[in-house]
Amino acid sequence: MQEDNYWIRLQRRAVSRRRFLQATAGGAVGLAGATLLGCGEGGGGEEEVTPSVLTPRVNTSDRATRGGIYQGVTTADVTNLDPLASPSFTAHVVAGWIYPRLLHYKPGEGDNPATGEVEPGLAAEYEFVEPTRLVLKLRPNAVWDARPPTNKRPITADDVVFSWKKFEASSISRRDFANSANPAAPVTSIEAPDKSTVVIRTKEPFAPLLRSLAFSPYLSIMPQESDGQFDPRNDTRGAGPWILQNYERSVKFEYRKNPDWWNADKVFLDGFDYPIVPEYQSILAQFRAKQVWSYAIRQEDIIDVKRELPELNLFLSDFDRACWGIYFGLQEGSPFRDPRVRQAVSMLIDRDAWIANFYNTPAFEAAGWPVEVRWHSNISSGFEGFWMDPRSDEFGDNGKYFKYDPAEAKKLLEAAGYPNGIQTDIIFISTPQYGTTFPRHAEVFKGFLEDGGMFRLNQVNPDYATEYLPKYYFGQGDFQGIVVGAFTTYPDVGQYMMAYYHSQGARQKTALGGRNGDSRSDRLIEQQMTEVEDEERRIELVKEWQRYMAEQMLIVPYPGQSQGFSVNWPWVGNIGYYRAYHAYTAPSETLIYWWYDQSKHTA
Amino acid sequence: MGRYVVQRLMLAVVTLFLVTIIVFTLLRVVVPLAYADAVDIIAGEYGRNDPDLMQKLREEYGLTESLPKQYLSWIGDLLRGDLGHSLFNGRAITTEMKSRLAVSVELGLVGLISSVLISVPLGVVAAVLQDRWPDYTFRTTAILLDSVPSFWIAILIIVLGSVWFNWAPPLEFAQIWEDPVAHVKIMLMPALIIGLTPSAGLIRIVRTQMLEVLRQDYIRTAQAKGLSDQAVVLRHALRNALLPVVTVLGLSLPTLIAGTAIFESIFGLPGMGRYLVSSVGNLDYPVIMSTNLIFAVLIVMSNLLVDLSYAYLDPRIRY
Amino acid sequence: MAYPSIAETVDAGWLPARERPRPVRALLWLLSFARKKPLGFLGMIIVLSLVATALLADAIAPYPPDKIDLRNSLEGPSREHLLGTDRNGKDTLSRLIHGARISMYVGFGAVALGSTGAALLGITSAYLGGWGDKLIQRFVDAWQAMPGLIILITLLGIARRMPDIDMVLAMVVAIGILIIAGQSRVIRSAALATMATPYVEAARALGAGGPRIIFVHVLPNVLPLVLVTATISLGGVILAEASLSFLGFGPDGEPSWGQMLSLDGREYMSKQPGLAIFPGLAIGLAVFGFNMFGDALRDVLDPRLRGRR
Repeated sequence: MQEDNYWIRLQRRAVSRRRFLQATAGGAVGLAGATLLGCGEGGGGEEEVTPSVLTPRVNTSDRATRGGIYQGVTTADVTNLDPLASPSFTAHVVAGWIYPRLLHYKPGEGDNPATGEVEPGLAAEYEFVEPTRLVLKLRPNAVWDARPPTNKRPITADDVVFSWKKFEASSISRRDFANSANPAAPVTSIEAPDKSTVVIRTKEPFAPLLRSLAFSPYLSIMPQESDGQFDPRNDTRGAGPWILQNYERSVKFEYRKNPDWWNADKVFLDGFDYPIVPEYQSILAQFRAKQVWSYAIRQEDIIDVKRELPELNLFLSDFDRACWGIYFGLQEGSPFRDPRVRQAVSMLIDRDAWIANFYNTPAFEAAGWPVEVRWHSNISSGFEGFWMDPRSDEFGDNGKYFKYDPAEAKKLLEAAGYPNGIQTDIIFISTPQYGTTFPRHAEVFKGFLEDGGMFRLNQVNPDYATEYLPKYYFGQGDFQGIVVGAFTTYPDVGQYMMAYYHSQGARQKTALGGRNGDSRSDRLIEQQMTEVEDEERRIELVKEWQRYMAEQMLIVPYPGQSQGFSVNWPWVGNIGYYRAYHAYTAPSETLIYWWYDQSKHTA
Repeated sequence: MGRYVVQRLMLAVVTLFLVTIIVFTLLRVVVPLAYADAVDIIAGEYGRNDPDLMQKLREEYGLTESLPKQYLSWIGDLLRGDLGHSLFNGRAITTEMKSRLAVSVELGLVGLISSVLISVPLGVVAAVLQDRWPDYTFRTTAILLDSVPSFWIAILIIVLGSVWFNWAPPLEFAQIWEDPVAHVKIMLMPALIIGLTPSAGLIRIVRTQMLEVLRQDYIRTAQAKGLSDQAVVLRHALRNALLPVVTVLGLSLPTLIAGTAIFESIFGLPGMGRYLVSSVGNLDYPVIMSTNLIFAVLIVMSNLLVDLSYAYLDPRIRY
Repeated sequence: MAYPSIAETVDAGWLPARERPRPVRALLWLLSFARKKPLGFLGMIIVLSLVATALLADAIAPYPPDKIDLRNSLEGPSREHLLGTDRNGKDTLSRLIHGARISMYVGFGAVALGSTGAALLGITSAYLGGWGDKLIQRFVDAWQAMPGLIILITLLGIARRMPDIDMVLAMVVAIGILIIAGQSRVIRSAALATMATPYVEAARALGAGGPRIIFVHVLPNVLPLVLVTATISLGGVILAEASLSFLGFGPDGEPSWGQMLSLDGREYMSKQPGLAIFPGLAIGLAVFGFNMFGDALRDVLDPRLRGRR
């Protein structure tokens, strides 16, 4: 399949670029980063620079045994389990365990991270019969949950169409993906010519289509019985590798192996237990006491924990494709309609200090565990191949807008007619919807902007559901002030650009009411999106857009990221070897290969 | 006695009736007028701009009826044991409430017992050894317990316990009928800590009462008869001193029960307080109303119990 | 209206004679207060220091409370930062000093509102007598049947979602309303007792109207009691404010002790224990100070109330 080759080629490109960087002792990335580039990701003959603390990523499936219940823990509960109707993303996390998707992401293996390449899911075969028409054949052996009312009923194309209709009507992502909800969105129809065939049409060729079909926040497939025969808000009847056997609100999730899954014989573990524990310190204590097998330990605690418990596995995490941002009120008369003011905001941000603070990089350097630090451009630095380092020669002159330069920022503000600075609101939520660290991010941005005296900011903390989302997040710039907010992690770079920067994007923050779009940016985004044939050309378009957007700075992206570390107890086999493309979809893509190595489970 | 019981019962019923009026007025009249009603919340960001949908939903939720009618239908449901459904996941609140009520009540009761176990011995010893060092120590303890926030102690125990002793409350909550050992493990610490704050007042009361009783003539008689100090204190003095303690215990119940809200959040226990805290965040009106009401029922019932037991224990009280 | 001053009310035997000049009298009063009630005196010193801290926060705090210093985050106590720094390098001492503002503001604000309301409600109820009194008392019963923290969580949880609401003011009002119900009981019984005295009956017989009786005869008599109950409740109010801030119902963007404890304290305590220890101590110290001062004041002003709290 042509699309598949596209991603494989893309991945090779990314790898060769890394080798290049390493050969030139780091380029603009810096020596420490280059040392680490060799580790874990490049593959082939680079082991000598791997810090010895890291655990090798080894495939142990050949000696894997079946059985065992993985002991995890989570801090978050869900209010509503229906992935196609819940107003909250928490439902998509649960959906990733239970509900099938037409396609899956292919996991990365060993030293190669996942690239977003797809493989068959509920659809066993798929083919573009023309650039705007995708035909998928469903698996004949896919059946729904054995419990009533679905009773192992075979999954049909009608279920897919049913789910699509529900998605179009009520999903919070419909404006990203369903043309009926947003004329700029790609998918015009999904039909079922027969019981096992699904036909998807897009209004134009759409490069990220396959990736989108593997993404659980989009088209999770639900049984038609969910319309009336059971309450999908409180109960689940899926067809994935796991069944939500027991869910007690604010107590625990218990997932068990689904014996009727089409690939059930591949699955090693019997299930996963996730008690809900809100207190991080309790979780940390239980992890150290071996009651929790792995957890996203905070980067601040990783070094201490690993030193105290040297037998823990330690892995370097992949770069994140998330890129949150700072966006602006663009009403008539707003100072932020002037690009020089937005550039000034960007140049008041000390990216290295911010990353050092929130990614704990100085401590890792000091401990001899160097990590690579990357600055985001207007896209996340996790989009391998597409992302361009603002500090590189390739980026060109506009990279200067990412440099911390208060003197230059002051000049820009003066030139824009604000010699005495600007007084306005800074808006962010202080409740934990974006995690407990998020308000601290925002607080630091506020501090950066106020430091030179150029901005005098009044802090506003709106309610998330009734005020932040409608007025600011979906406000399309129709408000006053500066907003710090979290952005969705899309599976494809083009979707991110489309959603946030295009004047018709589902979450756009750059074109007041869609009217004041930036036509050059819009055109570039549209062009790369329809560029299905030639990936080199698509990458070039995305890079051209990054150079252009650096100057426009319609959204000031988050400073950047470094890789983090993760720890787990050594009796979770394959946990480091299989690498997920997206956390939401991992349960059906990588967790199925995990196994319980009892021989390593020490008391 | 019989008349007294009937009188108290009727008073309790009147109180609960007024509680329903307060809760209803607050959440179904004042807040919707000042801010948003249930349908505004359900319809959310998309529905706001769709007046037809809003109207349909309002009819579906019975919000177009007159307020007295809405109140009566709510009361009717309550009397049938139906607390309504959550706006967010449509679950029946009655089902949800059953297990949560058990958790909160147990926390409150064990907290109560723990505060008695802490305060009675300390108060008695302080009184018997009046103006000597144990007296000063325990009085200082009482003062400190009164000042120090108990949720702070809870945090210190969780964090320092994990850092120094690698101890932490078990992760997974289990009901007592599922796994008694795990249940006790997870409930004991929060219940003990909940008992700390009320102990402060109790220590003082027990001490004062003991001092008073120890000065009474019959105690001197008992001592003169040659009974050991221990016997005098335990058999004669304590029994009489404990009477007022019952009242104080009753009075500290609201603090105990309300305190569960904070401790359930810290220790991750699935009780009513945590249910309220999370529902308030979502403005889940039916849940907010139900939790408030049930807390009120608990308080009224325990006050009733205190009144009755007091009347039973003290023969001088006859109304 | 002739409000009796504290000194006059207390002038029951052990106070110095009235003829001495005012400043001297006040000083002597203080000295004898310190001698008779050392803990209460200590409490008074703590209370006064806290009030001064809150008023002069900008002047005493070594740093602005939201001054971020990423290069010195999660530091332990040092010469530059006497109590260390939090996750974003903000100075813990400065934040504690500024946090006193919210505690004092909510403490005094809620108590002022609550006690005034309680006095009005209690006296009115007593004055009305009969059915009016009964009705008011049953509502007070009902209001008290709901545990305080639960009502506060409900009220403030809803308030928190409303746009443009001042959460500090919301706390003052919510806690104030709670106090009204609780304290109006005590005031009512005192007012009832006053109304039964012969001179109020005489005033009534002479044709004095309702407001006159309430403001001229009843109010001055129950005022010391109002003052005492108000002072005693201050410690509890500060604790309530801390609990609510801890649960996340406090104001954003301003430091408060409960919030410091629940955010950086709870999350980074294992790295920097001071982040949880110091705010907890601050709360404890404030509550201790107000409790001790309140108890002593009660003993001095109105010995009948001994052991009430």
